Amino acid sequence: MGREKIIEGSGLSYHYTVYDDEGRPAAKQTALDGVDLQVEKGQFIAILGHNGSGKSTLARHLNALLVPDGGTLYVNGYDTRNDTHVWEVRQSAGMVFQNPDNQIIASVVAEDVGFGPENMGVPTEKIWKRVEQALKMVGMWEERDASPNRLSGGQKQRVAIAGVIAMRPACIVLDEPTAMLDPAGRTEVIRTIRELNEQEKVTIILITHNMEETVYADRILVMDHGKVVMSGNAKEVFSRVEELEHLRLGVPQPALLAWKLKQKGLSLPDGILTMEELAEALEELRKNGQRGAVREL
Amino acid sequence: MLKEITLGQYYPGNSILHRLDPRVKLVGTLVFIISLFAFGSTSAYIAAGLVLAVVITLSAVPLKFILRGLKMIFFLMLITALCNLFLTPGDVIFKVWKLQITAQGVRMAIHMAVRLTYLILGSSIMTLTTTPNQLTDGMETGLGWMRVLHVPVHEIAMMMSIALRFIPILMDEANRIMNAQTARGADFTSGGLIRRARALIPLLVPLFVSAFRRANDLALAMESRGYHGGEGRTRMNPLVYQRRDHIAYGIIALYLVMIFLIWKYVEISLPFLP
Amino acid sequence: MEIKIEHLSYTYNPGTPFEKKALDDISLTIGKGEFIGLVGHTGSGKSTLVQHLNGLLMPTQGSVLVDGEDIAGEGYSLRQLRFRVGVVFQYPEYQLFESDVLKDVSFGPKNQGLSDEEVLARAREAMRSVGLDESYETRSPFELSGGQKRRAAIAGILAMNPQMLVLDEPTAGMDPKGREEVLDLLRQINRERNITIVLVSHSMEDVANYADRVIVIVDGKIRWDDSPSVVFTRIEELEQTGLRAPQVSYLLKDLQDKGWDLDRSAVSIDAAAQEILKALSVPGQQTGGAVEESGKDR
Repeated sequence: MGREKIIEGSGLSYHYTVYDDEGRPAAKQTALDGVDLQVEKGQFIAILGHNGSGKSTLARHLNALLVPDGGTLYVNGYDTRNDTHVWEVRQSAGMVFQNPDNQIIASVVAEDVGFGPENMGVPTEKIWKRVEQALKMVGMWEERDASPNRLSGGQKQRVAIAGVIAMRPACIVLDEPTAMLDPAGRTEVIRTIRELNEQEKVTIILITHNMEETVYADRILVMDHGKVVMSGNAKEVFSRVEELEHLRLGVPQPALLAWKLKQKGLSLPDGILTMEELAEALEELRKNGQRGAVREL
Repeated sequence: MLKEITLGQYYPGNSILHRLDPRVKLVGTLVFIISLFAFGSTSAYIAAGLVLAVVITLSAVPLKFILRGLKMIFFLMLITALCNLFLTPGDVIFKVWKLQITAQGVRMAIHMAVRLTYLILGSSIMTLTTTPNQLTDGMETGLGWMRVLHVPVHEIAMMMSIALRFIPILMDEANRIMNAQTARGADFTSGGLIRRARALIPLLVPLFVSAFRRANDLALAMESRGYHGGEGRTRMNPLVYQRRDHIAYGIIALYLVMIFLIWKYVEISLPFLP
Repeated sequence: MEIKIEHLSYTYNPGTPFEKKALDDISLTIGKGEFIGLVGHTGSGKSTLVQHLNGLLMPTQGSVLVDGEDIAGEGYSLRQLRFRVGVVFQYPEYQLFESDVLKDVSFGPKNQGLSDEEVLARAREAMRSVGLDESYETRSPFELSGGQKRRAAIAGILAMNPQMLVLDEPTAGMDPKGREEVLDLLRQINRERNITIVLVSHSMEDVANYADRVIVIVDGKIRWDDSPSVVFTRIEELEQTGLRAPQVSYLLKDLQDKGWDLDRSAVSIDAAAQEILKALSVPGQQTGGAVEESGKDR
């Protein structure tokens, strides 16, 4: 495909140094181990992994908060190891973090969204235009004068997303943006991300351990021990139930139930992701009577 | 109780005070505070009090909000007042055992209490009508000349605004941790001073750990949004003086002159004040 | 131990402009050994209710009776109550403060005024029961992984030997496996030690899988208080309150609407699978052809 590559990483590796009590380097811990990652413009990529699988380390590389020990990473054409491009990289790959409180800098919503453009040296009138546009895109324009402390968790995350959009990045990297939210906030944030991707063609890289959120992604990468161990679309990845459970993950409930029914001998198709699809498939089986019967019970 | 500290909490509104340039408000507050210490007399305090009342009315911030800031310094005020009351030498008007109250002491105590109250009210009004970001901008632009003296004005201003944003969050957190430790049988309210101080460890350690974690997160978030100090930053709300700001400066100057004149020429002695 | 709540109402900041009624005429009884799921929106009043169970809050109206004694009564020891009703707040790892895990877990029993040996025994036992072996005793709680910290914090409450354990979203922010481990641990504590569990959760699936009784709070009132299979079949009503049922409930309803003859009371994946298989295996149609069929789909 001739589409523009936003992120091109190959053979990425990174080690943390562990220090002993006296502050001397004691051991090295591998956080990334030969990761290849290609993201094209307009894609929605999900990176799935349990806590400690290396997914957040990878996220921090995309924004040059960390630079790889080995391999190369180009973000929007800039080599992240090259110090002189660090601000271009950060502007290209905007980051949204897990804790909604710890990434809002200003005490008024609009001022927070303007923080990034201010740092970039955008002229005043243009900052306001960007702020307005960004807040409207995430549906928070009405709250522009509010204090972040008065917002719900989901709203705070939408403000954080707007703060990144206002920097006009080539892609947005979201590092477990829903981990600290309640179900309403989670739905709200995921819906915003999907809308941005589908309507505004924003390139999205979503890092999460919640399988349900990855269902809409174009491609899912599953990480473990700093490696990408699975890759494919939701239908492909979530048919591999046993492997995923082995990776401390799991699969969405519909996929799990379909898998269990298959284990019992029902002939259901692969790639069931929603309860509607499962109901359809089961109904199909029932209509076909004998063919869908049960082996044992 | 922890939640009730309003100092540094912006109260959204659109009053004339909210719209004033933060530099004007900073200078105004500064002038007000200086006037309290430089021109201390009953007459001057009454005049200053009247001006303060007018300013509070103009701010359209509910009085309840403003007064809550006073609660937290109540004990400080009490102690100061008591010290002044009993330890100022002069004409004794009342004596019990070794404790003596002098006329000068009463005067000092009252003046000190009034001064502190005005000081807190004055600065509360500023922080209640100015967003921390505006305050930062005001400091940075208004005090920018101090950079020549190697004062890191931008950094100080940024630190201030971050501190202000996180104070309410950390207050909430302190409350939560206190609840959690109380659920484990911690007792924050009984015992002597030393026991009480020790009882605070289970509160303070997690609070510090959390503050450091938040600081770390925030630093990452700021860096990832391209923050690299004050160099080359533009402003979303650049400070441009309006007509009202010039008028306000005039009023501040007028206030200073007025207070000076009142202090110098007007004597008021209240019957209960010696 | 039995907690009986009678006509409990709670108002925050009464008499101020910030007045807010958080709980409104709540009555319920929590019996020994129950596993209760407490469900509701953020701000529905669940957390306020939880804080009444160990006397961190006192009712504005109504009463909380523990084994028949009113906790607001004169001379009632709230501190003793807190040792009997252990509350694990959200993100409990933020309460860790000691230099090593063993000391931290000992904090509760020490406050109980037990002897040093007993404190040590209790702490060790609690650590074992959450799956932290001796090697963790001397480690700093701040060096542990997220999941281990959470366990250490839960151990800190367990070490007080409470008769009831109340947990506010104990699995928040954990990965799927970590969640399962914590929930399994609760089930084990409940079954083996007969400790009452009150689990506050946003996950209907977790509540359906683990709790015997579900209490749904909507706007400070109890809306439902029944078994999961009863509560979760009321899909429409749940959705009207902005909540939802576990995903399998939707499937079973969908199938029933399509004309299947099945019982909708199953709320867990395994029970639903059983129910579907049962509904499909109409007598006389049982054949062994299914294996071949599944081969054909690939």
